[in-house]
Amino acid sequence: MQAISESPPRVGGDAGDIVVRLTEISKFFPGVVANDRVNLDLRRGEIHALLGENGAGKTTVMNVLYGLYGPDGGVIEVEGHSVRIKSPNAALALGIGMVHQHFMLIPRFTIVENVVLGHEPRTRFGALDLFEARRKLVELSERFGLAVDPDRRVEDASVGMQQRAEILKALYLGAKVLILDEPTAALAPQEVDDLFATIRSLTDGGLSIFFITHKLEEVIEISDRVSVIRAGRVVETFDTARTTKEELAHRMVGREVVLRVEKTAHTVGEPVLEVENLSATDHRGLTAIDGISFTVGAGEIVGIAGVDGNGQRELEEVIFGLQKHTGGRILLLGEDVSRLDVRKRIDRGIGLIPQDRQRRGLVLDFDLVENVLLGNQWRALYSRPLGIDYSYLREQAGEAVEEFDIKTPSVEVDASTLSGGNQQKLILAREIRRGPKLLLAAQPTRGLDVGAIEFVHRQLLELREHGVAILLISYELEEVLSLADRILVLYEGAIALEVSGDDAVREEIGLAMTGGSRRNG
Amino acid sequence: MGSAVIVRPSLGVRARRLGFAIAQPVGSVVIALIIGAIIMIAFGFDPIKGYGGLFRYAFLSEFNITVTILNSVPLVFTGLAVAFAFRCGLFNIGAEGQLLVGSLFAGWLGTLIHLPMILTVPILLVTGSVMGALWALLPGVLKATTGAHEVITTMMMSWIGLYLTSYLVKNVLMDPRSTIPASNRITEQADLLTLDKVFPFLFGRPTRLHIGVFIAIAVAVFIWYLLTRTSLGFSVRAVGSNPFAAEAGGVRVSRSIVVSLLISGALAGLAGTVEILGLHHRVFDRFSAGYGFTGITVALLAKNHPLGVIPAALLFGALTNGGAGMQLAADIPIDIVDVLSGVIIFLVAAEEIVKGFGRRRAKRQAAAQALALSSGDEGAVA
Ligand SMILES: Nc1ncnc2c1ncn2[C@@H]1O[C@H](COP(=O)(O)OP(=O)(O)OP(=O)(O)O)[C@@H](O)[C@H]1O
Ligand SMILES: [Mg+2]
Repeated sequence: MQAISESPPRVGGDAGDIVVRLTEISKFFPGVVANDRVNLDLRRGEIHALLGENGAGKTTVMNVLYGLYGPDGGVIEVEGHSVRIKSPNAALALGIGMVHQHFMLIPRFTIVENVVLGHEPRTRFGALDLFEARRKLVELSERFGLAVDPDRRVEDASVGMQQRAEILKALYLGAKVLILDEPTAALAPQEVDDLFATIRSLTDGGLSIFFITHKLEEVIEISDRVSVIRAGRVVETFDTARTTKEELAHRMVGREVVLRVEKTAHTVGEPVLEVENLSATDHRGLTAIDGISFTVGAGEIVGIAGVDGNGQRELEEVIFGLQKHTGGRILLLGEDVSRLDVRKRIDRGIGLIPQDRQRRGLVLDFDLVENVLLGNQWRALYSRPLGIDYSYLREQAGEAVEEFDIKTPSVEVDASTLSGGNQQKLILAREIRRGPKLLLAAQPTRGLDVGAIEFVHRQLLELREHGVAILLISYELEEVLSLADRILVLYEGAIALEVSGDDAVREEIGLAMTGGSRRNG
Repeated sequence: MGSAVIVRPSLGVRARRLGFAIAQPVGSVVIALIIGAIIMIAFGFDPIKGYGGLFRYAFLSEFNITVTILNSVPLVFTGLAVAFAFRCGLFNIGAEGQLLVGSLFAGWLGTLIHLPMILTVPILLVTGSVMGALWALLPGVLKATTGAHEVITTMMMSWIGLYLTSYLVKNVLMDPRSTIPASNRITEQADLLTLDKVFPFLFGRPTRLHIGVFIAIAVAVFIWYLLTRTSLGFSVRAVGSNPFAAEAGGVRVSRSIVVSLLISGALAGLAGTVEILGLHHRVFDRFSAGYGFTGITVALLAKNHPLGVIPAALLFGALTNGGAGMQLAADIPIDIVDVLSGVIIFLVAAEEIVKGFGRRRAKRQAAAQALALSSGDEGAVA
């Protein structure tokens, strides 16, 4: 199945020097073949990208390598020796580290505490020796350009810093092989550049990296080789230099993919959302949103661009009622909703695609059916006098799965068993099918494959056609540029720039995102 | 796309889930019995004789089975009480106090009113539940408003309840003719019918079994329905599993917390009231044999499933009853029963050990998530 090319070895990786080889790895879950005789190898010093649709089995095969799942078939070789990896600790002992799609840090702990967690260094008297750990951490952090503040609590750290902490944790534990599962999904463009620089310095230092991503540009930019996984199988392994985005997309989805949807011109209706002088604080009580005003009209997509941590999260939470505002008003169709609770706001027609899908969006140990119910549980459609109408609900869940192509063996499996992208699709399905008047979409396509992104973008544009107001909060400038009718750049809780989607200049926006300009305020 | 994907409700998934849910507690009990046997052997007792005696005194003979069932009835209620709060992520360890307060006021009222049975029984059952609920109100409100941990507050309220009821029984309610601290007899109109009266064709002789048995089963089914089929139950479970997502799903988290503790307290109050109306017909000082605390074990073993509470309660009812038998038959100290329940709790709580016998399951991700969430104040129980 594998088409190893005959090209001479490239800079990053020596074809003769295989660090990890997976042969015929299979993994089954109830009703799902997640990996079907997967063959992959990783050369020393190379960056090997894994590309594939949501639910293709990328995370699973890497979890097998990391010792989280025992394979149902196949052989793993590390440095030429066949091994059985029974736990992440065993994987780490073999020098294999992994940074998951959803971080596994403990929010209340500081970064250094998280890094040593499970492998705490002790003093001679058995007490926790954070001093030594911190020293080692700082050294690693300087060596690989992974800037973190060791004493900051994870919950106060930016997503980028959390990620660097995860990488540092793997390095601290001596990883020689690093698995990065969608490391860029939550990063701002600048942070992605930093990450790539780090990754290069790591491979220069002799590390080898498996890199899972949905972004074709990233594959082209960073990887030495790329394997396309489809329906649990490796379809083909390419030398990156010899392939193109289009070819990869085609191999991955099995059809042509439109990488950028076209939006039609149309007129904007009455204002649906009016935000007036809105202020809010973050969880530490510092100003996060600083008296901003804007409107979103019916059938309009307003994009909020900006680097993570400039008030986006608070904006999302405040408009939806998850957090109290400290000043100003929020009007929905002329009615002041800023004192209503979440339920009433949902009833008034606000929908939310939260940026933190596992925390805010889903109850992971509920099945898909009940996750579709979330936010609808009091509505007459589902809630009959004698209880919830589960048979109707099950039908609805089935339709949602069908319509959004959510890959699952049944609607009655726990949401936690869905692949990352499919969890996202489940939230999208629920919120879009509810028929909102205003949709707050924060990072709506985070973790989706190119085909699914195309689908979701079309869905959003269709909502726009139907007069839904959409507030699109995204760290992905491309996404904002391709969808938004108007773009607001959020910088330090204020609107640093407002431009119409048609005459948006990438450089100007980029500058405003980093505080470079203040044409509008 | 996704040709292999099935989106019909599949029986397979449900059956597997149910099988898995049952296997673990059953496995724990079996292992506990084995460990108990090893301990007996180590101390020179004969486990076959011991368990034989336990079984005989728990189940064989009408008298024994009656006692076992009567033991289990209050445990069904307290087990439900603890399980319900658990499902909302709350650890109500004060069920004992709620039970005492609920039954005291129900019993007290029962000594005062004179109404026909058809009114008396419901009125007293409602009184008991309302007072039990009231005893859980303060912890609920404190949790919802200030985040004060319910383990502390329910326990404190429990002690207050214990001494309050004790004081009232000794100083206010006490029947002057009685030599032990007990109230006057509650009106006979409040006595729960015994089963020989309800099913004369089934019981040749009078029995102590009363309709509380059926009330317990009915309440368990009701609670199961409430939790799994209604919007209130859904909200409660959502708060218990992921309060952040519940909040974003329009669940009023504070309200759910208060409501769950109220329902939990009501169930505990009902436990004591049924016990008093069905068996004692008076309020004794400290009549409860720690039902509120055993309820925690029952709920744990039932994995907080309202229907699972019934067999779990029966098991503990049988253990207390049969333990005495074991002592009689094989001279084995009754304390072994405490060892057994201790081991059961340990095994059920230490899920990972029983599951796959040390084979690591890939629940790491979920565990890390849960850990991350519970590092807040969600009262996760390890
Ligand atoms: N723990 C699990 N239990 C049951 N099924 C699972 C489990 N983990 C993964 N699956 C199933 O295995 C398949 C592959 O999932 P995997 O997470 O590997 O996909 P992925 O390629 O990483 O997708 P994504 O890009 O969306 O993250 C999916 O259909 C998923 O539903
Ligand atoms: Mg994945």
